[in-house]
Amino acid sequence: MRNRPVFRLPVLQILLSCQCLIGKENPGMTSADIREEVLDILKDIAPDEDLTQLDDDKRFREQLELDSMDFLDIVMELRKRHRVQIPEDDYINLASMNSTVTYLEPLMKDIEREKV
Amino acid sequence: MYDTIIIGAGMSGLAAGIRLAYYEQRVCILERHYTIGGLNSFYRLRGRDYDVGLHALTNITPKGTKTGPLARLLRQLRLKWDDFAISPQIGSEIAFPGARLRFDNDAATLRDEVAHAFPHQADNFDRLTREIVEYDDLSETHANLSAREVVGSIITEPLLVEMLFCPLMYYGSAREHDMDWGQFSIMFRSIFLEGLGRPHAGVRLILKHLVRKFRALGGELKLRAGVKQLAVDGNRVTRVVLENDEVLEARNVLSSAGWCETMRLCDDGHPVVNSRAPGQLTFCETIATLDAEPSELGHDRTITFFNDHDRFVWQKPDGLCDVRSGVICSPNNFAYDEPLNDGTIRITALANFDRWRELDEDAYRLEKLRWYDRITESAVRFIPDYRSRVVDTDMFTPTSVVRFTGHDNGAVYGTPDKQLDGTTHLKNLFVCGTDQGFVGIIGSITSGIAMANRHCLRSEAAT
Repeated sequence: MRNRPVFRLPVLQILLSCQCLIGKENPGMTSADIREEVLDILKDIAPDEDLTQLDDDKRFREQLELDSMDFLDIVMELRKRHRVQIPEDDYINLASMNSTVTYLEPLMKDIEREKV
Repeated sequence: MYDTIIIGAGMSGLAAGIRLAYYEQRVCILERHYTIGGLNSFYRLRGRDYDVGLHALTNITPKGTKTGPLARLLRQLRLKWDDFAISPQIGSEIAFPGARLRFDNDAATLRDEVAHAFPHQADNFDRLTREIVEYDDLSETHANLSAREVVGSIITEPLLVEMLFCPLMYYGSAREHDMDWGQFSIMFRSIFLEGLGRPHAGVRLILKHLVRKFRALGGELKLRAGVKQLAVDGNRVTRVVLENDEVLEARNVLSSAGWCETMRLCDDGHPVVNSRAPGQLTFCETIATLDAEPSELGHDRTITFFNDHDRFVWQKPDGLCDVRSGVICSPNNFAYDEPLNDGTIRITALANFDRWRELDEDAYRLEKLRWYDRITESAVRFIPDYRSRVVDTDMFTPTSVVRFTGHDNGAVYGTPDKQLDGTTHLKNLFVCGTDQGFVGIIGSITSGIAMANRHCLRSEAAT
């Protein structure tokens, strides 16, 4: 079950980041961080879309007006912002928020989160 | 060493440049001319601003629309709808002997006009529209179907067929007599189903936005930097030699110079040059500045496509121009918040490049004056006669088009055979712009974006 109200996320994030900062020397990106980052990228690519109702299980394509050019931008933004390399064969993993986060987790776990 | 060198600072080159610079490539755009824009440009003459090139932007959908070419290119370039400040057309028309069809940015207007003028074709027109809406412009499978055959099999009144082809050919057919069905569908959607618009400040506003964005992202633009040669080693371009003998290097070269024009630059003598016929269709355009708004003279149409006989002939004329048909544009007749400074009427007519080129200087000047008058005389059969209100004039011919675009024959829409995937015989040389396959302002920008994405970003994403 996803579809949780998005307004709660910042609270969750602050808690998570506090824990991380206390518990670890070099905090990597958690799945919540990655989700936030992907949301931020989507906001950048499609500023007119309402992302508050995004269903994490559903394909982006079914909920947002994104075409193949926009999907390339998700890949390029990840590369630009975090130096994450995604081979063309793996684009298929970026279909929904959940699949994207799952795919990115191992790739981004060693990336230091931006300082809050 | 650049990541990408782009040849030509027109709409497609600038758009490609923005995409690549945004994703941190080292990009250099080389422009032969002293100004940007290529086919779509602007100039100042005797204290007035003029636009050349396209009359209007096509594909105009209202602010907030998420689909369609305009929304897509704004997203891709990270521009806001308001950056282009587009005002919609007031309304245009197609004028043939005994029939007029009006259209505007509401597709229902044309549909009603067709039903009124050709009652028996109303259902057929709806069927045609459905086929066009369903046409998938990303698949290239139907590209080679004849549009005349497809449309003729649905619309059974020949006059209506001619009337529908006239605006679409004038605004984007590189091929004489016919269009391919794919191109027809794209043009039909962009003009009849979406619509026309123009920024109050004209095309310069769009170009300035693109250049500013490109430079802000760290892109380099060199003016007066014509390319003399693309030095080839094996299957790659290794060096770009400028006319001033400066030598540049890049991993990829993206050229908007045109197919044949680009091939000629390659020093490997590849036979590709002769395998594709250059375009033949080019225009003369007259520009008249009036001491009144055209609407004060009783002319409120944005664009009037006219033809003085039942059949619409789309071919290179035998004489200097063919004035049987033409396009009359009034930049004043868009729904602006404030009026323009001057009244303007521009008229476009088919012309023959070879005939204009062979004139000596004196004859050229004389013919320009003569054909200015003939073109205007032909047009005022279809709109109110504005000639007594003219305070200044200008005119460009196919040789002016060559000077500004460098395209063979001044072919405004390039070669009839497009290179839809943008590839060439060399691994790191690609084409964008008119000869890749999309025309018009929106089309060129889309072409630049698509080719930059496909050939200079996509393959790089994982490296």
